Amino acid sequence: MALEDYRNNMLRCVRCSICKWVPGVHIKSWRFAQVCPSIARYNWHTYSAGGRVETALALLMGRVELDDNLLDIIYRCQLGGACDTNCRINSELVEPLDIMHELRMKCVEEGHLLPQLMVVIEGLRKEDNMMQKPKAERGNWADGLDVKDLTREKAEVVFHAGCRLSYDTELWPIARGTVTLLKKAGVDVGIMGKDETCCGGRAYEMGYKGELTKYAENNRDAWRNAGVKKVVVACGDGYGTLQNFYPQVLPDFNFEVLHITQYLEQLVKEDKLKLTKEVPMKVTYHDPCHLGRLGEHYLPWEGVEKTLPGPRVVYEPEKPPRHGMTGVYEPPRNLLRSIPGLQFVEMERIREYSWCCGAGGGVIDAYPDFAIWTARERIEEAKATGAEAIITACPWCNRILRDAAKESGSNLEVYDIVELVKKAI
Amino acid sequence: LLFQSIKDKEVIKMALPREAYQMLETIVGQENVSEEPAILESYSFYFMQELARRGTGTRLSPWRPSAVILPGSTKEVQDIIKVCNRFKIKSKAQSSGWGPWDGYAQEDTLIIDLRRMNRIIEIDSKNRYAVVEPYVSWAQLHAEVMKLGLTLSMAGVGCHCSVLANYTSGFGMGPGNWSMGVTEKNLLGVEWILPDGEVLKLGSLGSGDGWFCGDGPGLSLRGLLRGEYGAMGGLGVVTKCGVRLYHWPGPPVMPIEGILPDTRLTELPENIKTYLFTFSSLDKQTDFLYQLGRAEIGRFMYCTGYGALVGCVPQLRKYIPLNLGGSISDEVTTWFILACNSPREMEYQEKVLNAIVAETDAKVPDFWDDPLVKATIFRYLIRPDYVFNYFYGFSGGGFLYLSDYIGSPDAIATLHKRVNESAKPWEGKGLLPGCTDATFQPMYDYAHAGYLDGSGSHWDPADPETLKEYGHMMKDITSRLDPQIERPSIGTKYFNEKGGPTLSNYHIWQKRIKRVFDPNYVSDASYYMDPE
Repeated sequence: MALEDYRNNMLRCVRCSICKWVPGVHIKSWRFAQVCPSIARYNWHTYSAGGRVETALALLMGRVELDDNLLDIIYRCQLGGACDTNCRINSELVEPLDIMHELRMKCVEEGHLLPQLMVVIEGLRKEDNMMQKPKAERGNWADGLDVKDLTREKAEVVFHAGCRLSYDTELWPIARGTVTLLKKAGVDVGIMGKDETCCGGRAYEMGYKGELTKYAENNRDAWRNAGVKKVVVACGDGYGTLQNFYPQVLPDFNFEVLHITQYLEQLVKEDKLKLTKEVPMKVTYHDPCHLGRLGEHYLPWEGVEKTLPGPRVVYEPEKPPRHGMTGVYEPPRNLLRSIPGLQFVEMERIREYSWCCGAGGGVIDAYPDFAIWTARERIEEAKATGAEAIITACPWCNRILRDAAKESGSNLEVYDIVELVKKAI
Repeated sequence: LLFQSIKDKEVIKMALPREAYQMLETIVGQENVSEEPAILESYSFYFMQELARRGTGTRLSPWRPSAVILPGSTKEVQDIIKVCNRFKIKSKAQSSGWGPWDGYAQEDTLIIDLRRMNRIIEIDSKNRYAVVEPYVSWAQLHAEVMKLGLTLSMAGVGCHCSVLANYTSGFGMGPGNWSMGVTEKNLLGVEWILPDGEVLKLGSLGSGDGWFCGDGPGLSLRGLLRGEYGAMGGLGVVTKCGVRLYHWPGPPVMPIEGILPDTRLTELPENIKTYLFTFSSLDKQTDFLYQLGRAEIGRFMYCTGYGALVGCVPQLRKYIPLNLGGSISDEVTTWFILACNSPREMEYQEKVLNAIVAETDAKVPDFWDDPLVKATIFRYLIRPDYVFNYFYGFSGGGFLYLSDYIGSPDAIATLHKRVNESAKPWEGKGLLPGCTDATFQPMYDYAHAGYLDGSGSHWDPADPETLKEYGHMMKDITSRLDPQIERPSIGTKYFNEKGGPTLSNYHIWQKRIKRVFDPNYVSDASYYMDPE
């Protein structure tokens, strides 16, 4: 698909603004009613999904040019997808998230590149990671861990640490804890160490589709060579990439993909891990976008648009629903509920209408102030529950929430769910 | 209806005088005013703008606004309007921005986006009113007042739209009108920036007595401010308003769980019950409504044609196919909620309801057992957001009424039938999904009156041919209607000019009001009235 292929979708937008809000029925307060960080921060209608769809139409019609200002509007968005999930409550006719992806791809194809992201992409091309760090240091997080090296050995399960966990030393306990827990449960797990590469998902969201394909193929081949059947990630972004993006570019991507929260829930249920120690904390949980609403497994659709009398536009066959229904919402919550002594409370914006942490879509790299602003909003929401800690299941969320808590002087603690499970064992 | 005379690239644009722009920057800060083409383009796009007489055939208008400004306070709005008067700049205010009436008639227009004015100023639960700024949505206010055991009258447009815009400047009815009355009658004190920049306070606010009353002590100018349909931004900017609140005996949060659209009701207290009835004819439904109104029972009520019901509730389509331009059906539906204060009151109201049901042949359809359907109807009645589901069910088209009428249930039923008759030649031609079938028909004040959207109507915004065909059909059908009472929708300058002579020449009064209140003609009046 190309941007031009979405022209009819753009023409049919009813400008209802549902893309800006938590679904009406789920709004619980004035304060936490908005769901799109971009319009919430910048206020111009243009910064909403609807506004971007309408501006994309103007671009197609030749009414505006792709200049630096438009580039800025296109990229000041985390692509967290709440807008899209909301829009689909009513219809599949607009598809704002796909349009916003296509806008970015058009920017890249036509050479309109955001300088802040060019540095990141250059780093990726050189060092195979999104952190602008040396490739040789990628496996350092696992130093001293007794874990299989899948460049030399074989295992049923690969733990793909991902870029953030591999290089963000403050978050290493999450990666190490993941391996420790899996091994404790008797899982035959290994890692790719310094030969692990980026998943490509974040590059794709920046508009670089070619990078996604390249890394998808690379990872597929590496995992096949290691005899892997199951890929485990502890990263929301990585999970969304493997579930949603890889099947789009690799029809033969047939590994079982599990987020660590799903796997741990399973292992606890099977009594392979016993959560016995009290963790006396009051906590709330932040749903990462790519683990939740954007973590749905991609289902291919090939069909045609058809106009019935009415006129009613339908797709034949029907498009698979993408309402965020099959996102990973319960496993992390079930884990939290099974930790002795832990009190779990919900925030207002949760599950498929969760507020983004702020780090997605390249925003943490291109507009760190906007990323922090978005995360501070989440910190405020977490604090309103009376929780002393916010728990998440993605290192990108974790990093930006930690930074935002620190910047705002909040004493709210930020943990990954793996860390809490480890405390409970 | 449709003139595609403007080619894609020929966007018409006009910059503001530099001095004026600099003054606007001083008022709101550089970051809150913009003339960036990419920003302006998204303010050129409005729902149903493809119907504009001078248009592109798409929802993008042929012109861009000259600038968009985001004021954050009443004072800033007032200063902006003064600049507009000084430089004779047209302006148009918008809040949530849904609907063609948010559009504007020419390129040198300053859009005043009221998004930053989004505060709930006050909720007075004891005296049962709330005060809001323009960008507070219904869902936000409803969520807050529910916690206090209160609710408010809402229009059907959708709970993401502005409370203030509907109460003060637009038109629309919804399910709560049954017991709480239409929204404009629930408007209390108002803070209004007149087109010349003066601040006028209406109702009790005007005499310094707070927001509690729309009719004084102090000026009561609601008729002038908004009349029946609202001035749609054609008479200055309303910056705050008070709205009446009502007792809500239900739970403090929406009792809904699950991922939309397939939600379920969580446990509902015994004092809240939801119903859906179908009727084989309009006359039977009218009998039902009269009896229900006489008994003054129930809190929320809404009537639709069968097609509109299926259009709004996607879960129903597995039971009943959408009526895609087939036959014109007489079958109609009523959605209803009893919300009582005590078990004894519930027992009484149920007994009355059952007696009326038995007497009027109201039927409970088989699909009512489906919990997904029940949950959807419940949320549509309590916190409405059904119309967008309906529009998207038909390609994202829109609605133009074959008739647009307020009257007694009998008058509405009669008109309904006459519209059906006029539309008969178009039955089965694939354009008209059936007049009665596609109507929305809210009742207010316990059936003392109701409102008829004579037909939700459809075209595909991506296919100009369907719009042209639709225009031919509308012209043909309306030519057979009596202009005295059967008229297309009022609310645009064009229709006001046409409709005025049939209704006490109200358009002449509008012109006079416009002349007096807007001497420099700076409020865009494309959905109100030109002074001359």
